[in-house]
Amino acid sequence: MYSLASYRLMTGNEAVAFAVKQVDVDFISAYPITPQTIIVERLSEYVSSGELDAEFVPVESEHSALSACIGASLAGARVFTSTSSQGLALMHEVMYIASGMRCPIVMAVSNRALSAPLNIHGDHSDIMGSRDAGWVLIFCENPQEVYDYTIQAFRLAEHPEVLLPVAVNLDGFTVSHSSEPVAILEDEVVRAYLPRRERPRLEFEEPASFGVFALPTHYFEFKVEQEKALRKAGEVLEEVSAAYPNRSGRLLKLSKFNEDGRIAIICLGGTAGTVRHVVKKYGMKDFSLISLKLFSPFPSEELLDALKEAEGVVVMDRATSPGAPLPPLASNVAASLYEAGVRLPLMSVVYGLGGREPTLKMIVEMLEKSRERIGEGGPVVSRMYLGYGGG
Amino acid sequence: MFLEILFLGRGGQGVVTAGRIIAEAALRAGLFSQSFPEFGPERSGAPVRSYVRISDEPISTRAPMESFDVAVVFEERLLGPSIVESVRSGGIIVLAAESAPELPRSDVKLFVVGARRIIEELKKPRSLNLAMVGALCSVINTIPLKHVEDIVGRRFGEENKEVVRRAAQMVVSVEQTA
Repeated sequence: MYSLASYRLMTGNEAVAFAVKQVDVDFISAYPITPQTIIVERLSEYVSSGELDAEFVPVESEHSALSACIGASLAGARVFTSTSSQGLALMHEVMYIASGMRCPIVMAVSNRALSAPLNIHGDHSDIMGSRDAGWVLIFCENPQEVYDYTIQAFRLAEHPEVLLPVAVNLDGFTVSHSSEPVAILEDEVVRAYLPRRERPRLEFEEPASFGVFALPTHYFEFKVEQEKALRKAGEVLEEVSAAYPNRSGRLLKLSKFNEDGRIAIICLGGTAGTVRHVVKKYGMKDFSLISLKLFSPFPSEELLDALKEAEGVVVMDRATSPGAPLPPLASNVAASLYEAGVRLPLMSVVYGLGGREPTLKMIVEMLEKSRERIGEGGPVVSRMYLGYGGG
Repeated sequence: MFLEILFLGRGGQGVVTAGRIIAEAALRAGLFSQSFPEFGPERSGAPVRSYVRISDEPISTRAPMESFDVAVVFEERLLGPSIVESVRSGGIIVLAAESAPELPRSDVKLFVVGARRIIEELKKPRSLNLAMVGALCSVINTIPLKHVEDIVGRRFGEENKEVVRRAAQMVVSVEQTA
């Protein structure tokens, strides 16, 4: 049983900050950047008003923010930070250090395009540029998921078999700045869900070294162990989410809508909601939607299971991977299919770069195009830039 | 029921706050709602939009709104042809004005509220947005005005409730002859 305190109208950013307050973090270091700023503002208000008893360390850059978080995390603190876009890019080298030193830091990323040209709007280029940094990567569709997944992220990160940082991604503006009803848990329920667990840390009494120099004799083993832990996080997530008190808020690796659709649309983040709306509103029953919540570790097994009946897939990427055969999500889907020996027609769609939010008309156009392409005799892989205005 | 609402005013008039108040009132009325600003930089005095969806079912779309069931316009000069055009047939325009302008279409209902006079009389010069929310609430008639009053009272002080009430009473329907 769980008790819902109430529903509150919150933006995605406010939902992050509220969850972090309830999680009772010990340490926050962050640098404000659009569209994440409100997260940092709210948290600094919570700390200054005494609602949250945490150390808030203002810094001069995101590089320092994440570095400070690593120090606090190694000292045993429960740690949070957040950023976007250029800020995440500046953190890039430190992200590898956080995961390599097995720091269970939780970071919210209000996803935004990368410069140049300068742009403050939403897309997934920022986090996709750091997707190999060894973090658990979670994507949220709406402020409700942002709230629920932020809380669960801490339990996952701090699990003794995981001990890895987790990035909770929310689309810049469309989720970060959209106010929606959020069902919130009582503070005590959140605290009970997240007991503090012992983990290796810096102590005077029992000195230990973290971040040691590893020669070719050891470095390889460190990295493979780290990768194993990341894979393990997929399994651990199942128990972490099963224990979450609000059943409807449990973090599943993916959610599927309209099981019977013959063409599966695979999508990360807020746009999944728009696709679901279109399939429902226009009665396009031949489409199913797979909203992927977990990008890393990639849930290949669950995805293949969800694609059992599919005749084709449309994979929507809100980022490009210039020079690569396919953009990030499509590449992971294709690899998963290949491993299972499944040769499904795949339409790779790049959309929404720099905040070009897909309209209902654009989604309909994409679905209709996929019907043509995923017919008999079509190419196995085809590509589309949705809403692209160039030739 | 699925309503898409546009708020159109100027930076500094509380356009975004207006959207949030009506979304919160809808939530209190047991409805689903979503409110978001026009994304991007904001400039004081420049035209500003915010958007609201209200439904009796969960709202999953995050598509930009291109047409509206209701447009709430804070000033007559902002009611340009493209805004009139963006209201759906059978839709509503709620306009802050002392008298009704001629509309080029007859399939849209026009409501006018003397919002500026109300806030002047009540000595609440910064509460134009609250007047517009009161007028909107009265016109769409799906959310009890009490919820708006409660939210406004809590956030902006008891005396602002009167702004909401008076605008709700004074908003009038204008017969279109076009």
